[in-house]
Amino acid sequence: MTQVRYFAAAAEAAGTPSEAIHAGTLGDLRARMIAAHGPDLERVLARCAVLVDGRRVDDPEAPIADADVVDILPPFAGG
Amino acid sequence: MPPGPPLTPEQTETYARHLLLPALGEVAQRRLLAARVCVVGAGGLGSPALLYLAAAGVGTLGIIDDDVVDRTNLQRQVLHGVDDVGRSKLDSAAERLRAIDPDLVIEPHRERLTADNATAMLRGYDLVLDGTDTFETRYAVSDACAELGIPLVWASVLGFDAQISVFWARPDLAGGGTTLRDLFPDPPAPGSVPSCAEAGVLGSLTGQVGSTMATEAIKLITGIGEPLLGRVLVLDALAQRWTEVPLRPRERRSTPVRSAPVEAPARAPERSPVADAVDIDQLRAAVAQGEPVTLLDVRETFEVAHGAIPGALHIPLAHVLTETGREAIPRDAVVVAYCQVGPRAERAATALRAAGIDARWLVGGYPAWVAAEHENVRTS
Repeated sequence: MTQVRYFAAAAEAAGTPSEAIHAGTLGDLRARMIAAHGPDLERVLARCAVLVDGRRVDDPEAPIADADVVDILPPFAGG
Repeated sequence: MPPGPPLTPEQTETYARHLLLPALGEVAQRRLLAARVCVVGAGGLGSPALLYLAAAGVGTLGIIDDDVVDRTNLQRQVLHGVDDVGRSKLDSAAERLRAIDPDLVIEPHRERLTADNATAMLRGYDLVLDGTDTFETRYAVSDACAELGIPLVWASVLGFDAQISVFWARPDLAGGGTTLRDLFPDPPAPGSVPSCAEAGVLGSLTGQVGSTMATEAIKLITGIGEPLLGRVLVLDALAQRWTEVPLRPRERRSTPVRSAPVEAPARAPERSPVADAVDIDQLRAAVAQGEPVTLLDVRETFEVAHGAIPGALHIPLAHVLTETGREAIPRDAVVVAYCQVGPRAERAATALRAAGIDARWLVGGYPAWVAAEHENVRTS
């Protein structure tokens, strides 16, 4: 199972700071996250960085392995 | 950072608690006194960062801010007080910082930092801290630091949440180092993310984060500890939980398989953006095969003075962007533009192609060429 960590607005929308999800690709993972947590998370995900083991991935076909850690970070610009 | 002159007796007393630290000590303190640091934004993050950098003995502080103090700033922007409302933040900050260290050199920049002036404003600083409050300014700061090769201590806050990292685009770091664009390649759509003015921010959170920025700055200047490179610290102040998120460079644009443009020159405009980059091996192979290539050095004159690729045509980027500046570029060869890192050359290549000249840009810039030359000497 891939460990997914949600931060800030993404954690709020998912209702949890982390969970384990089994998925084969980034697109698959995204669909499972949205199915589990609904349109609130979908809206936040649209602007989030998805880091797979530290590398930003945007291609829905990109493979996800069970050993990967996926971090979901929303952007903000306050200073 | 080279250290400054030996400490005076007064400085020895002021910085006594630093001097007691075995990892820091006198030479590191002299490095701090000789350092030139620029803080962009004297607001929520800039206030604590500037206060601690001034107290730590950083010798020169550039401050960029075109704003005036507003009453709503006082809940977190601890450089400023009630009497400063309506006053320039630069004036208020300078007064407060000089009270901490009368010898501090302050370089105030009243101009708003934009993508057009960022490189000129930040050039010459050893280190930059970004505590600004718009995406537009943040990308301008990050791109300029990447272009200049200056390390950037970066942080942003909203509500009870914060993100902090150190970005440093350097060819010798793994994958060329990371920048803001490795985390968020482009700014989000305007209006899609609330600002602190809309969603609020916990004042003391900016204190935590700004102080952390100052700590990273001190570590980078003195060379102690492990800098926050390739890592993003994410803070949830409500849970009071710091999480470390790894950050690696995005896949770089040049991959030998996907972009072999010098070997197979094609009229460019319809090609994908991926194909406009060449790496040093492709360039050397093309030159070795006698292909017609014009090397175009788009760096500034002072940079070229330190060395350039032999035979390269030198036209600084600003001139490449003008019609008269492009007149000297021959049109019968593929142009490969290079700079010190990449962004300027990429911009030059884009402008040249728009002007009907077949152009590419060299990934890694002049340092990549130097490294390849050294490699060549070693192996031959």
